[in-house]
Amino acid sequence: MTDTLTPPAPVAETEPAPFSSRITTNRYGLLLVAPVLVLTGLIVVYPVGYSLYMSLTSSNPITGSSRFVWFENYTQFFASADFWRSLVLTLVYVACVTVMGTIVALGSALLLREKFFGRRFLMAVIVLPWALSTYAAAVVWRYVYSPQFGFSAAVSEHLGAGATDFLTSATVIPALALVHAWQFAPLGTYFLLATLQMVPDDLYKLARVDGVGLLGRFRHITMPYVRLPLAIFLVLIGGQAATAFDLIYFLTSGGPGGASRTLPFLIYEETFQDQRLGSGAAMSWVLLLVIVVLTVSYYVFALRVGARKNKGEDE
Amino acid sequence: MRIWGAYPDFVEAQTKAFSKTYGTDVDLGVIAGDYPSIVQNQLRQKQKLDLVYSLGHLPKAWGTAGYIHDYERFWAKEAAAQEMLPAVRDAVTIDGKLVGLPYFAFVNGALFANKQVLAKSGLDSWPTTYDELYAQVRKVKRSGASDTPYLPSFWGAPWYGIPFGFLQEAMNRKMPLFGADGVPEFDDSSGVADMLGQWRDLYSENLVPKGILTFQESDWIETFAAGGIAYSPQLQYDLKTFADPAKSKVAGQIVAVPQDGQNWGMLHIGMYLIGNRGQSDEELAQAYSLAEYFGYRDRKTKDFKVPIGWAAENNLTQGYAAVNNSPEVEAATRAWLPDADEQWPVLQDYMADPQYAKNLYQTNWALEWMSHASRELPRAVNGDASIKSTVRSLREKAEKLIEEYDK
Repeated sequence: MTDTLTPPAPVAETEPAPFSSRITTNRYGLLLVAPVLVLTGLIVVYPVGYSLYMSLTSSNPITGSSRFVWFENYTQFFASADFWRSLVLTLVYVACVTVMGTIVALGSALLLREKFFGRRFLMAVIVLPWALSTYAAAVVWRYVYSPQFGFSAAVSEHLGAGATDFLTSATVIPALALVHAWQFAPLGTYFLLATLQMVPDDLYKLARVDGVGLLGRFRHITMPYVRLPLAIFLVLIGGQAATAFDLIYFLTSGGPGGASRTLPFLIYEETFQDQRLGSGAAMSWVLLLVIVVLTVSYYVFALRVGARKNKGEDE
Repeated sequence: MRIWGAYPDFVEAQTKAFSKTYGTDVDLGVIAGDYPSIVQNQLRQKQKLDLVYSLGHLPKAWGTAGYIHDYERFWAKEAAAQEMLPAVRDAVTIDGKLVGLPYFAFVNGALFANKQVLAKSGLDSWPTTYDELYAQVRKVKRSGASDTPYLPSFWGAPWYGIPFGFLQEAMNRKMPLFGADGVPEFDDSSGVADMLGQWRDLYSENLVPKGILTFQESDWIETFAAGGIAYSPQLQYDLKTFADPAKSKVAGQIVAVPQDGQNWGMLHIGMYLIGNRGQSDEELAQAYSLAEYFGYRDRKTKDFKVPIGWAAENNLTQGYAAVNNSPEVEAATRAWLPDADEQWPVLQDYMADPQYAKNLYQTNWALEWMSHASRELPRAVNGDASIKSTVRSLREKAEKLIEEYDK
């Protein structure tokens, strides 16, 4: 008896291993994100790094002079009353916009959570200020504030107060902040409304049964839900207010007499009008620090309050 | 070609006509907002700007920085300069070189009066000095003919606002401002301090409209056109707007106050400048050709085609007597004037020998000083800063800039 032979195994047609299998996972991952990294490097890292370098130089494009001055730009404007005035104006502006914007956003969200005739229409209309360009908003509000032709002047005259100028040096910051809040609040309204719609109605009903008043229901039911989205909105609106330029430029051009010359406006004047690029860059870095500090403070405050609240509830 | 937003349709029509005649395409762009800053940065970046608008206080610095070409190689340089009004030629010539061709030339701060308000208040003589003007303004208010009888020369917020008003009134009053090389000749005890004191009084006595320190140019025009203002130093070219019943409630009532012993306002000049981006001779010749078409004569017909269009259609008077006194322009202007026979010579007199802030404008730092002044002067007017400290600040800024730029 002879041994039978095993037929030869068919030769599988082997395809070359895919490129992703031939390199390490890390390398493959790096390759995938490389375009984004390059782009980020070009449009974020390089300009930011260059602005830091610029802040340490003093140059005058007209005369062509340029020299490295270390921190001279910083020390110069820290010693300037104009800078501190602008910084204070910026902080006041941020505070006004944040407070006004939050009140309007939260108020509108609470209103829109209720069911009433015309609610859907109001929900659509309320977004209009946010949809407007800042320039258009500024034009509208120029006519609202104008003591000659303005809506507010007509109202105050009707009330016997005479035409009122809302853009005096004493009132210009709150007046600008109102416009900013008016334009930005709809975003907060939608943000908060989305969260409020998740709050079970039963909670409110039970609270009513337990005799909890309106403020109590807001504090103990609504606030825990909206705290985090509110913190995010505060960060957004605060950061936006701290860097606001276009609205101020269109409505007052920093006036009257520098009364609305916030830090972004001062940076604009320094950099683009006076062409002091080094000093403008240095101020931009200070503004960045201010925004970072404000943002972190908001989050720390919001999260601490939340944590304290949760701890209290657990106990 | 880059322009600010004045009559872009007119400019576009002219660029199309130029392209058709000379076979050169023109890329026209309108710059909105802070024109000098934006154009200055574009020129610095060597963007493709062959022809740009400019006011008189910019070309010196831009020339020093190498942002612009002069017109020294322009084939019609001598002929154009010869035909210019002397004050205009002086303004567009820097360090002995022709740097621009005129885009417009008129008086900024020409004193306009509303006859209706003056008649109501019983005034029958023209003021000949600012002191007389302010005295009349108070009389108008006392008479009840107007609550805010005076609209000052653009105290508003933008870059072209209150510094121009300051320069023009001080020059009209023959107060020393800037000497050779821009050296300041004023201090906190000189006439400009008294002048600012008068401005503050006008403001605090509510003789001027509320909100004036945040006016934009449109507010300035609309407020005067709405009526109720007795006197206002205005841009001469806005006379056409005030004469148009569709835009003005004071049509037929606005006249220019005659000059008698002193000027009202100062020369306001726009120029066509040529950007320097290292272009070839051929490209430079094309830019000269476009500038010639807009700022001088059409090379083919030898007519002042665009300049006469500007003056006759839009009352934007030009840097050439041959244009401003041409039959077309005279006929058009007379149609806008309520008392043409009386007013036409008054307007011609405004342009006969206008003052010009040459010693400031032809420094490398004029724009920066003007920006500083636009922030400081309103504070003197509304009392946020003392008048003396404001004047000191204006002087110190000029001294600091001289030191910095001369280093």
